[in-house]
Amino acid sequence: MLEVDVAVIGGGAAGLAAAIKAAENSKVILLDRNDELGGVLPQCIHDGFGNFIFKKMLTGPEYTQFFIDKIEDLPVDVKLETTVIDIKKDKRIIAISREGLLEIQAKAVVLAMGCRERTRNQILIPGYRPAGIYTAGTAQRLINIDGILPGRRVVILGSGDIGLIMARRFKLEGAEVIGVYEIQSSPNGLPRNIVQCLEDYNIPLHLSHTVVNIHGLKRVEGVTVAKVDGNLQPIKGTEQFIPCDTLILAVGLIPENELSKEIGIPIDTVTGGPFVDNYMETMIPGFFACGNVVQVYDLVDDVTLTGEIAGRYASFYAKGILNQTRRIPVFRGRGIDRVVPQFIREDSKDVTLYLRVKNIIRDAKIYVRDPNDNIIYETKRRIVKPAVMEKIRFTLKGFYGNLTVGVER
Amino acid sequence: MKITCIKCPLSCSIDIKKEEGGLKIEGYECEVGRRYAIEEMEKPMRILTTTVAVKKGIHPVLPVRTEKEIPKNLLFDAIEILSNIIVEAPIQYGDIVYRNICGTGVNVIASRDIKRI
Repeated sequence: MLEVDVAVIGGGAAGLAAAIKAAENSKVILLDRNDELGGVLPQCIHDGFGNFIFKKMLTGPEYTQFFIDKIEDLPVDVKLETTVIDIKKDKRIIAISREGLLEIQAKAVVLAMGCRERTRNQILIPGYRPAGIYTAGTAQRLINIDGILPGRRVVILGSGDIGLIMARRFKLEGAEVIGVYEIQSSPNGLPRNIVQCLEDYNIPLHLSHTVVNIHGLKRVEGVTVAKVDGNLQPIKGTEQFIPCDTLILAVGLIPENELSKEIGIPIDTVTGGPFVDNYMETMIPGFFACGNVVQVYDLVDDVTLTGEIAGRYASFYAKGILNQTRRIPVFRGRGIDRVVPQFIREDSKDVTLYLRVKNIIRDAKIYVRDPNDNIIYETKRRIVKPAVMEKIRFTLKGFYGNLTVGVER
Repeated sequence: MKITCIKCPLSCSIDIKKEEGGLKIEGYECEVGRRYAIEEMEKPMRILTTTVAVKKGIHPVLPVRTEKEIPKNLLFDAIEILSNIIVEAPIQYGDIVYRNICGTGVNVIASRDIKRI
């Protein structure tokens, strides 16, 4: 049995950052099921990563190369093609690898398994099950890592950033992209991607539309699309058959928490990830979580930052120098859809909260209140949107009790 | 022409057209947006990212990027050139894959290391 201070599960942006940070003062093992480090970043060949940390617009591979180079210079035990199948409450980890069954005893564990894509099953599109239906990420991997173009005439469902990026990618590789269909009445992706991935290439975006049927027995031969009403229900009589050989699904991401649930770590049903405090510790002592396993972040920079926090405090825990203090809950107040972390350690000073609002508000005021409704922090934004995660930072001066975050005009 | 500003989440919809004596620009809320609209009308620039074929590498393709932005109207010419390039592993992050693409003075560089098999 291997014995380590900190075991990091997952070698994407979050896990890399956590392992690098934890290695500053403890013995670290990093486990990943893929054959190379970086998680999803090596296949995200477009630019736009690292604006916050590096002050540059890097591609995914460039962003991750920096951390891979760094970890190779550290005494971190990196195990690739190693899938963790079980983690016990006492932090014993069972994994399968090319070496056979691995047993690792850790003092602290960092969960950094990331997220996965929603599939056809989760959006219930009827029809046959022919070849030619891919999630956007699978198509991205096929094209950018394996060098395979999975289709020639493509329909994309969902206007999230991955869907938009793949529309451009298919076009550049010579495929015909018939259009992007979005069930909501406004696009999900960043304006930058609407402009540079669709408008630049004359790819139409059809809002309030969805795919209601998939045709073809062996290979996709077409899809039926329809307009939807205010309740997102298809409107009879608006159906239209579109011949195509490929349907790309870009319909959202879900934090991947099967392992966390088996350990018994409490999960926030709003975010789909573990409840964490501002040290990224879950509700079970010594288990930390970071990056997209906690919630799906907009920016990889924030994934890295949460990874560094989790790594640092996991190593403190392993060394027995992490103070156990009470935690103050942070409640979702008016206009707030979600907030992470959901708890703040009482002995904290500087606090960062990530939040999503429920509605678009111009000239918005985001505030934090104590139990007596005193405002302890306030900041203004010209506009807040559900599609854009907000980040607020403030300093705690003394004890407040429960905090509530809200937003108003 | 209509331009969606991408410089901040406000996403202003800017109207810009050439008129006698200069440009008529409407719908922007700041100087950054005004400049972006002019740039987008006169000479839109883009980073190009794609892949090129690799011989003897651990992966069959290498992700590459233009080091700097190139004019938008040259994107497909550049793609055409890069689709005919084959490089041989090992490749190091930052290696120049193609010099002076489409006469822009901009190099195309490797986005990652690719080990040789």
